[in-house]
Amino acid sequence: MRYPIRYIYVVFSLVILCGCYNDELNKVQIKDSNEKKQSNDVISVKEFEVNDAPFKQSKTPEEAVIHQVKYKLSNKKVVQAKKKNVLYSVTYGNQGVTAVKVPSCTVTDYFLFSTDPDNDRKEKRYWAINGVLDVTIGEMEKDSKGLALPFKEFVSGKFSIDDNDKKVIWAIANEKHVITIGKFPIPPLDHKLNGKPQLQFPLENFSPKDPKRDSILNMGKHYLFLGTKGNPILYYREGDSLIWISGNVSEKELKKLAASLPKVSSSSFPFSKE
Amino acid sequence: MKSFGKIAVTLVSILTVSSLTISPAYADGGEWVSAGADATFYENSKVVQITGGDFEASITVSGIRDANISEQDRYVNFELWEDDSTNEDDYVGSCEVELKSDLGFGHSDCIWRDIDKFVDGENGKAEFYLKRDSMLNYPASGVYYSGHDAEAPTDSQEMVVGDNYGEVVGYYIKDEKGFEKVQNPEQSGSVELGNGSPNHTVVEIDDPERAPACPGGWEYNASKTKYAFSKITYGKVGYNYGHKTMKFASTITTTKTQGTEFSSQVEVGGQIKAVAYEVGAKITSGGKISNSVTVSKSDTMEVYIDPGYKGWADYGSMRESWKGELYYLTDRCKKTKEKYLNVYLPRRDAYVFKDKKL
Repeated sequence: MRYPIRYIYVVFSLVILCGCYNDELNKVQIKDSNEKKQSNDVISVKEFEVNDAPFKQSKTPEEAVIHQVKYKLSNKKVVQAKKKNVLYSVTYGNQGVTAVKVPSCTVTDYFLFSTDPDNDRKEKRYWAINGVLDVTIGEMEKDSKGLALPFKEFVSGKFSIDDNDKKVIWAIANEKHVITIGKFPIPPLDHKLNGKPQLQFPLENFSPKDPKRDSILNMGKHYLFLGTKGNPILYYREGDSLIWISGNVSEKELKKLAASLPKVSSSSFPFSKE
Repeated sequence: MKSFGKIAVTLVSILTVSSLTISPAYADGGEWVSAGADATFYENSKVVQITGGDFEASITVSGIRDANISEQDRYVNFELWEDDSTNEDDYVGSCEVELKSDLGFGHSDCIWRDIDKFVDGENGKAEFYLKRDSMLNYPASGVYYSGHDAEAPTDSQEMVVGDNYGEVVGYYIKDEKGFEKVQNPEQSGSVELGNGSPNHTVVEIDDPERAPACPGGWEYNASKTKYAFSKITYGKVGYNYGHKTMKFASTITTTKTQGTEFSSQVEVGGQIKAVAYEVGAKITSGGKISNSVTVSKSDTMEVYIDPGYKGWADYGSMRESWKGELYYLTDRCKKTKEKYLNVYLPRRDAYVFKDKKL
């Protein structure tokens, strides 16, 4: 309410309204069939705000999501993520995906940010946010649809980074863990080279690089290395797609999950069943 | 900042609303004039005449008896319509009032800017009225102003919770194939119609020599007046103060249902059956009319937020509104026990994307 005097208006209105209340309540009504009550102690994210930040605070995707984003909570507090709230970040070429757990909430809320280097800025490698996937932990799903997850109940979300649905991420999360599965387009293998390194690939790479990376991303082979937060990053080629998986889970859990993924051409990917 | 003049007008309006007369126009710093007030209304407010510029409705809703109101009944939606005597009324926009469970009522100051395009007719004025589009019939009151909003949004980066009106940028409704974008809910052919009326021709026959012309029984002769989006839950609001267009996907992680239930005025039995038949709804084992829509977990929709805008998706249902007469038709085709009845029926899952310039 913008003016104190409006409170007076409200009081006057209520006096008038209450007199009419009883007679009219018996009109045809439509009632909510779900009458859950919310506790006043529940603190959740209501709004988020993306701003530009100084170049020196946006030199990596992780810095960008820390310094460019504010969250407004249901208790009216405005918070920003700190380094410890960034669960992990996976950068492939010019595409960053960063998972953040919003601080100071009683309702677990993950934000996954898509970032890319800004072409419009004179500064090089200023990372700017171009996409946000919000995954709030609420009512959980129990059917993993063939996916070997390290937890029994989860919430999932899908985000198309580009408009033609070629660069896509899926987030699967519970109270403690969030796993991201990415599907990015990559150039096809040139079979005429008969296994020799091809000049057109690798065009891009993970950042930081996989120290044991082959010169060719061979079909059917799984690669695994650790990201900046100690998060395992597992990736493999399937056709013209690079599939990568990361999360705040163990290497063993990630391998098990990767083994349960269906073919990328499946309409239900990353789930085996619809 | 509006001046003290407008505040004075507010008090004057409140003290005179019981007579339901429009207060005389009263200038406030050259920016706002009072356009009238409603002491109490339930479905539609009174019609007020506006010459152009901006329009503000200061709405209060009482919910004192339901302090523990459920989350989805907490938001009372009002639509602003332009009353057109020659054509169908024009939809202008909507506004929500959040009932504060700790206070027992809710209040919102809702502003619609640049309403000049709705000015029509020989009087050169736009005739506005508010129409309630929410589930519960709590009494509402309104005080109305026309003029110019001196508090138009600026480039301020302050985040304001509850400032939740905006331009609708897309309606999506759900069918078997998933979500489909429609131009607007009223023009959509994707929302199925009700089963229709039995279409009896009602004629009164008093001549006992003639055979009965009607089977007798309850009938609800109604027509569907419009579709409307009815919110079940809010999506989070994203503010883009950066320089890059941002795509935002919000995932629903709860299952919330919006349904119908008649509490009075329609008796269990023939009346319920007649209404259910007309509007195409089911009857539950408890003898109540029933139709529900559920917004369920793991639905994700994406919305683009341009630099300098905020955007969000509301989640709910496309709801039908039926209006008509419920009556008992005797076997001699005589209408008895007539009463008018409005029925609101949720039909489909729907998302509405909204954005607003910051």
